[in-house]
Amino acid sequence: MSLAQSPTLNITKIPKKWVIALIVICILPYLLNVFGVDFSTSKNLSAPIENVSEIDGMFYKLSGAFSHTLLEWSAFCTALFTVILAFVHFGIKKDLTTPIIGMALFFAGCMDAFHTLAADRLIEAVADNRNLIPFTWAICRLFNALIMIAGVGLLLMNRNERSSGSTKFVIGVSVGFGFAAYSIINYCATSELLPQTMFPESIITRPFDVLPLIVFIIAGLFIYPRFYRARPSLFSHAMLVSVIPQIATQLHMSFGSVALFDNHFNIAHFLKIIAYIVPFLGLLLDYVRTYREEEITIKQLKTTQHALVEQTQLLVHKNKELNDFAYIVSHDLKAPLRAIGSLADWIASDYADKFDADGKEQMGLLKGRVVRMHNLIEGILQYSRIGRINEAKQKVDTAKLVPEVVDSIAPPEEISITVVDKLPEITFEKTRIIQVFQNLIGNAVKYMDKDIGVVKVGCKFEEDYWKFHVADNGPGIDEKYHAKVFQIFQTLNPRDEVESTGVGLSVVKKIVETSGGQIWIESEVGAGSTFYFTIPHKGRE
Amino acid sequence: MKNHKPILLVEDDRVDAMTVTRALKEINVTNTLAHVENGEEALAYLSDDTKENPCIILLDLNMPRMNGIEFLNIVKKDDAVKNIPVIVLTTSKDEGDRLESFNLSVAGYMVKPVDYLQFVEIMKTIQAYWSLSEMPFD
Repeated sequence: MSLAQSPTLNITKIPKKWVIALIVICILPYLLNVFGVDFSTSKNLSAPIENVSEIDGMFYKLSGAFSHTLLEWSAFCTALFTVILAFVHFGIKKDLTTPIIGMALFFAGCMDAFHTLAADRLIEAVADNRNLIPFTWAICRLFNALIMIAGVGLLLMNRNERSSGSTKFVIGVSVGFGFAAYSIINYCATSELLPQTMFPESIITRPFDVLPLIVFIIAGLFIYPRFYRARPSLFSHAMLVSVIPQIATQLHMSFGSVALFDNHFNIAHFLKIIAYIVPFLGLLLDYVRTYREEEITIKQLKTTQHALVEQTQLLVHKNKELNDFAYIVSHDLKAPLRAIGSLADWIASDYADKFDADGKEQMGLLKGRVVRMHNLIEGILQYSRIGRINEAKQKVDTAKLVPEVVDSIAPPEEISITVVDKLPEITFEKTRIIQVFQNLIGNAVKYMDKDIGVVKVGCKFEEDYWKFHVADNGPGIDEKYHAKVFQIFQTLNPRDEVESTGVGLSVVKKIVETSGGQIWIESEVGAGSTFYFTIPHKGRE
Repeated sequence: MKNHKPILLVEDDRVDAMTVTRALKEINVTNTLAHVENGEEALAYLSDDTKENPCIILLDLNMPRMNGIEFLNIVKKDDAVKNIPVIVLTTSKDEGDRLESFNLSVAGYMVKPVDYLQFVEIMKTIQAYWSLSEMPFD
């Protein structure tokens, strides 16, 4: 089961029916208009208002400004929520797209907010509202279109998705966007003379809104699709889709609106909210998708983990079974073997007078083979006991232990065994480390072919482990046998020449590897061999 | 042995039983040898009033029907026979078997050697020890 196969996880497009619904929403106000529904809130300011108190009358006169403010503020709030969600999203997915575009949207929203506050005279503005509102609106729209393109452009240039400097990049871009937004609004609000923006008599009633319209069309046709292909996600697709209400907004403004707060003016403001909501929804959808993705991943992980635990248990069980099997079989083989040995003994002694020289030799060989088989069985038992019986680890001072092992081996006088380094204290199963040294030093002594044998035991401290070595000046081992000597029952000499079970080194290897170390040989044929083995400072539990 | 009560051998392997018989004869042990083949038979022997209780019991561990450890578990709870010295004679070097045997108060634990002559040595040692050591009953 791979993640890519899961159908829910490959969604990077807003569902079709949502897009259709969006188109319907964009056309609906126009259609309603055609059927006579009026959305305007422009009241004749000079007309006398009757039967209402002065305060009410004031509010009544301000209805256009109120609806404008409400609509603008809704758009701004959506932008605010979008940027918050974008950063949350960034925190989860570390995808630069959302914070950059989120910041662009946010500052576009801020422009709208400044524009509204200036129109409401909540921040100082000197220009006439009839010029200020449509002009700053047009500037805001243009800024909106451009800042989004700027954001997209930055992202298209900056391809490394999760660069370490991504946070700096986001902050830098945000500051840039913010500065641009503020300075433009500040300039507009403090300029006494703003160009005329509305031309009620011409076809293009608000020519300043044509430029954003063109920019949005270009963005929708060329830039956003490219961006979506470069970074396919629900969010980038939502941006592409948001061009629909953007264009609808601009159409109402450029070709419809002739006065402040008129029918097309309000529709355009409403559609602008929709244009802000679409990316917000895209983010939300992506958020849901991310959550589902996690859910599925977790589910899969759990299944895998469960399977793994089962497999491990099975493996542990099988391993134990195998070990037990080796142990039980070899154990049970010992009894009949002993019987053969005893019977051979008795035959040899009871019928000694009936055997000729050949018969006696054969009985001798028979007994010898019994002993050999017994040793082999003991070898299997010894080998299977490692890991089967868990001995407690303890602190072992190898500086003390090695001389004891040497004593137990009792090497002949012509072989000198010396310790060349200060041997460390290690944490290990004591009988196991004894076995290791017994076998390595024992082998060096057993196979010594020189008149004066020299065996050296040493140890070097490495970062993660102790590296011990046992070096001799014996016959050496050809490199092609280096792996073979560690296999159980493998010997290099005929058994009749050197009685050996071929278990010792396999036991050593198993002990060393069970505790997380390694063992290897460096050797020159005729000059001697050095066995190296490592013991990690932190032994495996 | 210190007295002339029989020696009870609990052993299922015929050749192993022969080994004991032969070794005892070789070192001139005069006590009679009673041979049973598993724990159940040994319990039957011990509870049989017509048979004299043994001076020592030589016990194999790995036997059919009732093994040595199971036998020890019953015998060591029986006041009438729990003080008869039991010497385990087994193939098993297993630590678990060793510990369990001594937890059940065996008097000795001998691993059967593959070589008959070594086995004779072991029997000699047992004989020598129990000729010197006092026994619970005369």
